[in-house]
Amino acid sequence: MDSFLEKLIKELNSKHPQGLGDVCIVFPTQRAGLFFRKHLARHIKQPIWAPEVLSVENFFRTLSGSEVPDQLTLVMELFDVYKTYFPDESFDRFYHWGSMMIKDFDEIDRYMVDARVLFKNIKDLKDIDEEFGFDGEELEALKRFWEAFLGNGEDLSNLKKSFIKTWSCLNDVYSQLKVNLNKKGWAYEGMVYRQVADNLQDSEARAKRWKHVVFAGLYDLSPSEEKVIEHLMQQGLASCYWDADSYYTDTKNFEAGAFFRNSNLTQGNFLWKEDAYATLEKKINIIGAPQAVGQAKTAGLELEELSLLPGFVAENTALVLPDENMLFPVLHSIPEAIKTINVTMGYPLKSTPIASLMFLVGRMQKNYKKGAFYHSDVIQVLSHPYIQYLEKDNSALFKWKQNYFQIGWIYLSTKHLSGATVPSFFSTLFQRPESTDEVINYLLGLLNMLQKSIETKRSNSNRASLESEMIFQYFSHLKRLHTLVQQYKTELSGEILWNLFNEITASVRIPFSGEPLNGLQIMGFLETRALDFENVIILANNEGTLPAPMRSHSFIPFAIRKAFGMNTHEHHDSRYAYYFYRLLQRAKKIYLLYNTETKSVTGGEKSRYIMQIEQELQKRFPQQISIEHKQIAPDIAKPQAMPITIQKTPEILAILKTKKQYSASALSNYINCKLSFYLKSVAGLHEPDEVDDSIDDAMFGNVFHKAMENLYRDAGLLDQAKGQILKKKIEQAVDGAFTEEYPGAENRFEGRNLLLRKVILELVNQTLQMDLNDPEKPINIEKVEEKINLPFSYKQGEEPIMLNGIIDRVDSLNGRKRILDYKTGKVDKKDSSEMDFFFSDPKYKILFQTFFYGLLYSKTYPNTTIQLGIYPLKKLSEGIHFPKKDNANLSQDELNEFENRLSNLFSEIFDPTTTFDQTDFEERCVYCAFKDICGR
Amino acid sequence: MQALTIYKSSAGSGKTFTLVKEYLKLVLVEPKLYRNVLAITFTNKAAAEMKSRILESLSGLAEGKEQAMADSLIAETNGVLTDALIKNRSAETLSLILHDYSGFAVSTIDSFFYKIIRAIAREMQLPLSVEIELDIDRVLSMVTDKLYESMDNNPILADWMETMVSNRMSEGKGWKIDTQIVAVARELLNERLATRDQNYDAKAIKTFSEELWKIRKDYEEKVKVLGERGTKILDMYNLDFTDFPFGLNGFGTIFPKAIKNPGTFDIGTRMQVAAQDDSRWYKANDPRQTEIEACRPELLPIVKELVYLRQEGAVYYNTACLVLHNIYLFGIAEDLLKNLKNYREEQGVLLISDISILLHNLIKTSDTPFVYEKAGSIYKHFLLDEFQDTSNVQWKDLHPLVSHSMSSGNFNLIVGDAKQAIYRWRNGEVELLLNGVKDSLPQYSSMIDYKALKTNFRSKKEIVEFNNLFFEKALEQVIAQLERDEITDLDLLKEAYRGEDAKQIVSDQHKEGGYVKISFLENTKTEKKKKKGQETVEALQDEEDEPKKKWKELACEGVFSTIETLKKEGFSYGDMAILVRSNKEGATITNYLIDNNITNVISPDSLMLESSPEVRFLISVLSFMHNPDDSISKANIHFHYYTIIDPKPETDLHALFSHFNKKSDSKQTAPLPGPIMKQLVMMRKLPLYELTEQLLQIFNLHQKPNAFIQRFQDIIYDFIQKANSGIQGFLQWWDEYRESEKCSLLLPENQDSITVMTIHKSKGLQFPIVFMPFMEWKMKPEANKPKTLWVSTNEEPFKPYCPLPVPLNEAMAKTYFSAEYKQELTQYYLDNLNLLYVALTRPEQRFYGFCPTMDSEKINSIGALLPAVLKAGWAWQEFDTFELGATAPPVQKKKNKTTPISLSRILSGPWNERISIATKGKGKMDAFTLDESDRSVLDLGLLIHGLLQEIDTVDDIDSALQRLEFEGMVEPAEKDTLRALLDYLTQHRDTSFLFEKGWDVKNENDILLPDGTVLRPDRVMFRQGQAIVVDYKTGLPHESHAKQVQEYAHVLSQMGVLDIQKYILYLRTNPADTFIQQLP
Ligand code: SF4
Repeated sequence: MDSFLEKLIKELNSKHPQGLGDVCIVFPTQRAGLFFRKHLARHIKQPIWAPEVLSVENFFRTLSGSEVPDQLTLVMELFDVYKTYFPDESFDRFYHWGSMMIKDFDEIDRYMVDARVLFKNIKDLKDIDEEFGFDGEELEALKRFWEAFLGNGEDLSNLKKSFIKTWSCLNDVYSQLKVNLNKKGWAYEGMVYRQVADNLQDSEARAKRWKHVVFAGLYDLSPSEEKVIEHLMQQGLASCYWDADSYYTDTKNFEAGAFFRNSNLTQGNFLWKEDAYATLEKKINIIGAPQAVGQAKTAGLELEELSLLPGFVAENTALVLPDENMLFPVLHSIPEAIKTINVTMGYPLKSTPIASLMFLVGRMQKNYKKGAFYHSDVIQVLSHPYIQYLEKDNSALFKWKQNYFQIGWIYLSTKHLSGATVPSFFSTLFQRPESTDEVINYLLGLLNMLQKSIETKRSNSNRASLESEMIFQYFSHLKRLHTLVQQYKTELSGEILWNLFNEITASVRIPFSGEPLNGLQIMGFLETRALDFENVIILANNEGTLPAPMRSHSFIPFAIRKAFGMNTHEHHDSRYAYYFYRLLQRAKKIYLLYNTETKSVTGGEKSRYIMQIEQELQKRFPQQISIEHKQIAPDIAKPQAMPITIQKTPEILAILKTKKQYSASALSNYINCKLSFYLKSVAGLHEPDEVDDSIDDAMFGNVFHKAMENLYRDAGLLDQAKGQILKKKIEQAVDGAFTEEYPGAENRFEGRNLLLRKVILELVNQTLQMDLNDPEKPINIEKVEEKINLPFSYKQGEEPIMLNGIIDRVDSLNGRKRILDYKTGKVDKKDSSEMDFFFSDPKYKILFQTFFYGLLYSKTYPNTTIQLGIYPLKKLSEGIHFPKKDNANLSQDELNEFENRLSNLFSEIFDPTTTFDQTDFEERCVYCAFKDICGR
Repeated sequence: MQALTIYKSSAGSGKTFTLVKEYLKLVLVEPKLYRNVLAITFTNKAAAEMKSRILESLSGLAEGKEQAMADSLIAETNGVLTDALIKNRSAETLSLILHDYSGFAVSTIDSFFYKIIRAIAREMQLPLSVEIELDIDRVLSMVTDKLYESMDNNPILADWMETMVSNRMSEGKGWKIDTQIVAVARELLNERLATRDQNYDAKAIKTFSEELWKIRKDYEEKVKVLGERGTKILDMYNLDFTDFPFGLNGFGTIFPKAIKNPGTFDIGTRMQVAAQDDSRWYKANDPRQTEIEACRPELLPIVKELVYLRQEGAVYYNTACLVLHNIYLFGIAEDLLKNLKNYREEQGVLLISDISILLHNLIKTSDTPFVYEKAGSIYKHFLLDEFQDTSNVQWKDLHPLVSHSMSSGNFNLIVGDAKQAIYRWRNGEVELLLNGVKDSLPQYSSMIDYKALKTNFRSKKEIVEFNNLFFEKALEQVIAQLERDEITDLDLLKEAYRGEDAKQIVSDQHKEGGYVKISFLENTKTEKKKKKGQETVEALQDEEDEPKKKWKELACEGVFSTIETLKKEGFSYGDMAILVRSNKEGATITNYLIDNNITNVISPDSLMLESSPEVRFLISVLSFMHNPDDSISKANIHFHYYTIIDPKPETDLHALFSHFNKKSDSKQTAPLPGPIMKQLVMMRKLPLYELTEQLLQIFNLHQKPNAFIQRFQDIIYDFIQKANSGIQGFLQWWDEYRESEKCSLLLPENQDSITVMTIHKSKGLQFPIVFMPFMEWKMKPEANKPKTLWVSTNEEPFKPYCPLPVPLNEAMAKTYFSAEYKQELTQYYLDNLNLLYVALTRPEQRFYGFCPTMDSEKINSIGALLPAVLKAGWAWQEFDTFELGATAPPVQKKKNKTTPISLSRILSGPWNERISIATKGKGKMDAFTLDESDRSVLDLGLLIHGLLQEIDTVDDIDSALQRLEFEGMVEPAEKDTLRALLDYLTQHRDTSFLFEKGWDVKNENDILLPDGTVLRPDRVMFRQGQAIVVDYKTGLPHESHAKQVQEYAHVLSQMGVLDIQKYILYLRTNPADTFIQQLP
């Protein structure tokens, strides 16, 4: 069976034997025109002038002589009018409402509705019968609405006031906008249609520039369109060719045929109605697959199978994406057998990488405060793929980042972002624009810089041209905004401007259009209009995606729209149904995929079309239609983690013996998990020092320790007088600690850091108080952060190994030395007599560590009386925790026992027959940095 | 006719069948009515299911199938419907619905309300672009960030936050308060709070808290003073407080206690007695009798007062203390709300929880009809499903619609089961189903009809009967317990479990063949062996936070061996489900089964993406790309590379791990194939999604199907749709959510695997075999999971600040909030009973439960409830295994239409070389650089080219320029330059002839050639058999230019044009440099 375009060509060639050079053909899409021309070439023997091919919009524009401004201009124009009624509205907020209003006006004109009557403000229900010329259902609906509005005559509520306030202005706004546009020779789309329909004589004259106009493959024309076409046909200037099938035109209620049944243009016998569904054999595959990627991959594999069949031609195959966001998953899933891919669709600008970069830049600028950017914003921007293009080999950026990771600035001011070593693009990126003009220029500059480097680095690649196209689209919208802002003198400051960008990009689609028309066609749903393919694969056949949801918001209440016969969801549904069934009309192999995942917003419910096909189509034409169902669900088996065991090779033993110094935390780590000890202490794997801005244990601990060190360094005897002096120094000690530990933080004590600072101040203060009030006072501070290295022979005949440790604080009190540790974590009170556990249970980690320090100290300073103590910072109110019963001092027996056990531990570590393996207790893995290696 | 029927439908009683039937009763009588019936469900899934059930029924009825449905319809419509009528009307309705699917109104309550809200967004001053944010956690954490920021210029807030931190620290809980803040925020979103009429005022709260402190201090002072006075009197009489009967345990301790713990000490029985009966102040022959008698008159009033103060008199004080406990929450609530509001506005989002509340605020006024009219709601009949989970606010929003419908005598329907209400934490209000609806429609109460669906169509006889008796007895036990606890208002419980529907009738299809077995397991508390050296590792284990109890181990064993037996009996894994209370319990049983080689298990845990080594590998690659210095992710990449991607049995793990420590030279070649590492660094330039595809290709991960990878890709796909971010952003997100359900595989149906799931998730499902391995949980609020309750009282000074957030604990019983506490307790019991009900009603054939032997008198946990119920119902002997019914073989099931298949591999390949796309942008951007001097000749040429294309004659210049501007191609200033050039072209004698009127112009029109090539001469003009062909060029003259024009001419002559003049127009920025060249 001939495709619609083939049929059209044959028809037109016979009707216009002298050639089509003077004929204008109006198609629903520009795309159809391209295909038409391509097909036409097959029918000629010598060169010919191609006919003019126009979309409906362009045809009407040509007939009207008005220019149609872009959306932003229209909204600006509307805003100008609107402001006189509502002076308080800001532009970014208005942008959306404005677009909606224009859409309403557009429909009013397309449907040739009398706006004055429509926007009537009904004060009394009685008026309704007189004011409107309706009856029946429409009148009822209208009455119900106004009845609900008027209520029982009580005062209007705020909500109603707000409604009527806008409503009563709409007619004035509408007329004024039209007057203003007219003055400039401009019009919005619907206004164009109405102009053409209202001035049929002029329109006809203009249409005479062609010998004949052919309307091909149109559907669901609005009253204004119908009026014009009907007139031109009556004048013999035009003819119409429809593409309908009796299956849906002749079935009552079938929404896909509604237009053909109702329009004046298609009464009686019209050209053309086929019986394709009744005669052509079709194989329909209905396939459920999970989510977007699942569908893309499934479609790819089906396509692969299809491509192996004899007679497969890629050109005759369309892969249709009702959800354009799926383009990239789909592109990646096209089987190798297909050599050429052609993409035609409107890709959402907001899904492009450039939009994401601009979004990140916007956020960075929005969070700019007190002369600095926020580190996480900056890093997000710098990690964006496009930024990687800006430097030849990224070495400067890499170095800068390395530095950043090491130092951990939290706020980045110019100091951090400029200088000789930073990448050169920093100067463009990290500006601080203020005015509207500056902001736009800043962004334009960025875009330019990107465009250049992407083009030079990836010249000639298709991806590059795709990306340039995206950047260009963004660029031109910005540019346009720039112009308009200047023209309309709209000053949009900071936030508003950034928000506006997001608003604008949210609604823009990039018109991708593939040429030449070879290979597999990947298309948006609307782009398929008037085209035919033998094989059709449609993804996302889910309610909510196909049919696309209708724009449901409008200033005009539903009842009123309905009464005036304006666009309702019936029209919308009918259009989509027609596109769908028309696309399938001549297709032979059809694949309908749907998302089976019910949790996602767009999944779960199969599209109505699938149900129509299952319930009706097949039953109607059992000979012609065969359906196959498939469900894709991946097999799931719980992945098993591989056990990891490290044997102690001589090399490892050598490392253990020679290189290592053993600290309490390394040994605790060993007790916790041998493998993690190995990975950290032997293999030397270290976590990167990521900057974290939250009140995080590590940060808290670091700052507190440092602060105490600052405060008590050289403090000596803590008598009352010293106490007074120290008290005054607390703030300085804490702030100093912040600066040393987290450079840059001191500049912006706010938010969490402010709270953290307060908490630490409080704790330092409490600690000092406690020390000053000790019942046995005064305390004498001996050492803070005392580093001790101790050679330790764990076994006769073996080289001693080095133990080391830093003791938070040593002080003396009443003739004993106290070894004190500040603990920021939870301090479980455990029985210190159970020394066994010290070496097997990480819960005893704190005891292990304090005893370890005790051992270090007593060996270094023999014959001292030692008491071990812990400051539980989480519960300082409970005072120092002395792990030994009755706060006893450390006994020699205990030291000996500890030493023995420690020796045993080392013997085990050095025992070549034991291995480093994973702990059996998975709960110990929760905070382990190597979780991902072990799969725990 | 009844205008509202409320169906109470127990588990398995054919609720959906009934709903569908009622729907059909409406539409089959009047097919067009489908547009006016709104059926409301709770989830999207349920809505989709309901739709397909209705469609299936219609299609079945149209074909004369579904006789059961047809019979009910005929019977229930008193013959209005006949077989023939049903057949015809079903076909008609089916066709109507299928072709007006948007009018087929089965919707979730949220999306229905959302539609309404959108229609009045403008009037409510909501942004139009408003989106529904489902991810409340994300919002709350953002709002928390903002809260911290706003501390800067809000000293009161800073104060509260500090208080919060120090309060927590003094409880030993650490300084991280984010979780707390998020919890408060979540509370505030709760509709009960969100709809209260109260504004917080930080200053007032400050005053209030000071007042509370004072109450507290005054009281304690008072008690202390009394205690001191008592002590002094004793001193005076030379007595010690131990000199009273029972000495150290006697009532005399009241004095030192009053001094030491004035606010917390308890009044014992002896003190009470002493206050009432002064004859008990000394024993017979007490040596100190005289002194005691002497001091008694002075002391007695003190004791009396103390007893009073610590008992009745303490309520005031207790309330103050309780309120003080969370006062900081109260303090920050206001700011939190403010931030939340700002966030919504800035981001243009609504939280899913906002919708019904917004609507609620409107509906309170007389606007209701207007609101629904504006949205075009045209419903006359409402069918509400799962009504037990409906919240008060939701019902209030629906109320006007339903009552309006009832007033017109239209039929409405409510279906629900109070026993299956397990979503109280989502505001589900079970009381509505029981009485609330009726109470809220007083004027229509005669039109409301309660009906019960009594037959159980799900389970075998023994199971139905077991549950009937079980819950009858369980209710008795629970009531008895609560009454012992002095809770008497138990109507809620009784009504839920004593309704008509509670006793289910066994259906004819399901006679004998059911089986229930509950095993009681030894529950020795693993004692800590004190003896040194004997400590085994296992024993230590029991000390970990969540003790692995012995009975749990036994339960796992029991489940495992039962599964083995069942397999032998012919059951398949797919027939079995294991129900647990938490995912953690799920992991316990899953791991046990897997360790014992039953791997066909699907559990929430095994579905986590992070459990897949491939996914972890991909994550480590991303981390590496983000920070190439990160030695752990490097090691991770290599480890996984050599173990899963390219497994080498001989891999030297040490060499691999130690390769990347910081000390080694990072320039050193990696053990990974060098090019790959390099490539990875290069690939940072790719957008995230594309990156994953390329990684699959590089590492050959696409050769095999892998559910985890595919889901991972989908997560990334979704992430970029929403978050607009790159690698770093994703890694951050991953870190936050890797353990959440978001990063889990989606549970596919129809797998031959044992499903492990929580009871909550199992609602609405059924399985031939159900296991409950861990039948023991508390029925009361648990102390280790602190909860906040917002409560009210009429007492001063609390009243004006209510509702107040207080910690839910037993202390509440002795405050002004005791009634609320008791109510909450009752609710807890109901919740837990319901949970058990849901679990026990899932099985079709068999139920296996495992429970520890408990020796608790109190019925405060399921483990204590079970034996009590079994004893009461079945005269069961303590600690035996409970068994009922007989084991029957599996029932053959009908096959599902389509068995799911797995993809053969993950298809992934490059597209770059294959795609073709026409681009507009290339080169054009430079044309618009800000700097004029930057503009290259070529770019300008492109522009003018575009312009000339639109210009047939001089008259078209303006509109052409205008159009270019609308397209964003030129700025006004640039227009002037272009215009100058155009003016020059149209006016200069050399070129003006090109733009004369009177020519027939083909402006960039296509010439088609038979071989398919298309020529597009820039401009061809015709007049009376004469033609001019022109091409525009911007570069330097080149011979190819002439050749091209000659070709045009040649083709034109083929088309029959004889007289042809040929020109090339060289365009230049400076008009004067422009020149035209004629070709021979
Ligand atoms: S994840 Fe667990 S087993 Fe692996 S190293 Fe860390 S603690 Fe050891």
